[in-house]
Amino acid sequence: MRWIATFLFIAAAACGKSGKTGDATVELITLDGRQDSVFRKLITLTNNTIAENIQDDSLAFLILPIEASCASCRKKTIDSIVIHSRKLLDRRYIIISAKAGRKKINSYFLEENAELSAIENRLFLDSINSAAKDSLCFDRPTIYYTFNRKAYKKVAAIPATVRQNLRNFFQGTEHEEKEN
Amino acid sequence: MRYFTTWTIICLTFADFIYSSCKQSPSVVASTYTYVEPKYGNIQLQATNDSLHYPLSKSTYNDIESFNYFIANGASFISFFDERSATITIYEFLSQKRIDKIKLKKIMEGRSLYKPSVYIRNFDSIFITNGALLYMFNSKGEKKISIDFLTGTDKYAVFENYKPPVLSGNNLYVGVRPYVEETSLEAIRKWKLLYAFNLTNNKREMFYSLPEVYRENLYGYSFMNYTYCYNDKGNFVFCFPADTAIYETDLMGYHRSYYAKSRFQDAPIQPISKEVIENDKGYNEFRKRDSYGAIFFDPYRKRYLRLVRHRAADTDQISLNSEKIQSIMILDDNFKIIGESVITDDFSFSSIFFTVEGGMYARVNSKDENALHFVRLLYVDERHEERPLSKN
Repeated sequence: MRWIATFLFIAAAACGKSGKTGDATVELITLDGRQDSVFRKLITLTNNTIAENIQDDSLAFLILPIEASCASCRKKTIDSIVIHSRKLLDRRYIIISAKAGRKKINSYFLEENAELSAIENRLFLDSINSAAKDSLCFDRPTIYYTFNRKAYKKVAAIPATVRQNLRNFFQGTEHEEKEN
Repeated sequence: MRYFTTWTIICLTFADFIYSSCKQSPSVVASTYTYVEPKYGNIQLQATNDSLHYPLSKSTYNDIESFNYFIANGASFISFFDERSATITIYEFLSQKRIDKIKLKKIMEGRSLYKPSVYIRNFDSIFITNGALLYMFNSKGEKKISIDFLTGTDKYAVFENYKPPVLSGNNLYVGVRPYVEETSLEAIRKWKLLYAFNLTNNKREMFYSLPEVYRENLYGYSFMNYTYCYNDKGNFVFCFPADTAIYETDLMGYHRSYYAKSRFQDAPIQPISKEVIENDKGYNEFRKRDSYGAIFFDPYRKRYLRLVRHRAADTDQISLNSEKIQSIMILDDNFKIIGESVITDDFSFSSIFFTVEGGMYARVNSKDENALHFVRLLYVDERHEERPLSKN
């Protein structure tokens, strides 16, 4: 049993450090130009509402492609958004991306017996699917971590990891790992 | 004697093989090319104030996967299939009053709802496709027909406005989703574009292949979305995004191609390399090239309308993913180009349909989540001449 646990731990660690591979969920963004351009695209998706003096801080952005995500990841992400909507940590931003307006986006929340509620300047609707057009996400809930106006990590959730990925985003554990 | 018998069997087997091979590809008939001198007059399609608005309920959405106009009991109707709510909503066409709502989950209970599309011929002939079968239901929701597709993901029949179902004799002809392996010329050459479902004996057969330009070059998925219309001679007219010509065929021996090049296209539409397609850059390359969109036949004025998507003007336009400039070519019933103009009004060309009175309508304001909107379109000729209406 211990061997299995050790193997899984090593496999998970290798996955996390390996950069972009076939099924990897974590990509370390290392190219300077890309770090800048991804950050700028994220700021645009938030309608440039993040104050200049905050942009240097450690920020995290969750993008949910609500139509393209698999049902399992979508459900878990919606549940997390609903649970944390009233106590969203500072410097966390949520973008719901779709080729659809508020009514259709809300229909996915209704399926989970919830309602899409406004979180002023923290939750944004991308109704023209800019995030996908800008290659920020494809068919998975995707989280970006930024610091000093540079995006340094991309986490594309899959059913096996989505709970942990969301926990890291909503509880702030990802940044603590980096800063420690 | 034994040798003679063996030899006869071999000959018959070979003959049968040759016959079968020919029978399986009746549509790879070379087309006879006809050049008709074009006259690019300044005919435009103009949106008018004559509009129709179909309200959506709280639980239906503007996510229209398929729709069609139809006549039943002497009255005209329009039906919309909303994929998000998986419902078909039917309205009286002119009064815009909702008269029925059919839930696919109920009518298709126990059947797959993967990639559904809907065509309502009348209230007793409701056709539905999913990823595997064609169904026909009556107004009570009873299944009357089901015909399975041939196996293979490149053989999904689908109802779309620019690939209209055609009922001819016992056959319902239905277009196919563009879902072929985009980097394999072998797969592309084998791909057939049209199903014929025989509604009396439940048999199905596929017809028509991509034209020569696709059989020799790769263009990628974005260039695969062919369209067709059905003309008053009972022929299909096919249009392909990377081909300047259009093709008229009866799916048997009659196969002609016609010059139908846009006046704005000043260079050939270049193929895309396999490497570029494999690296997911095919769409960018598509945007850098001119291409052709939907084709419609106006049965009242006997004109063909063909959409032209102009290549992105510069790299900024490509990276911004902004809408391409589009123009509409108009050809007369002898396939002579008689006009081409850039679209200035904001309507969806691919949603054009014609009513029994000769009206031409197209969808507008498709982002409105509370109603579906259509406007009537008019031809505006440079001489502003009124053209008489006659369907036959």
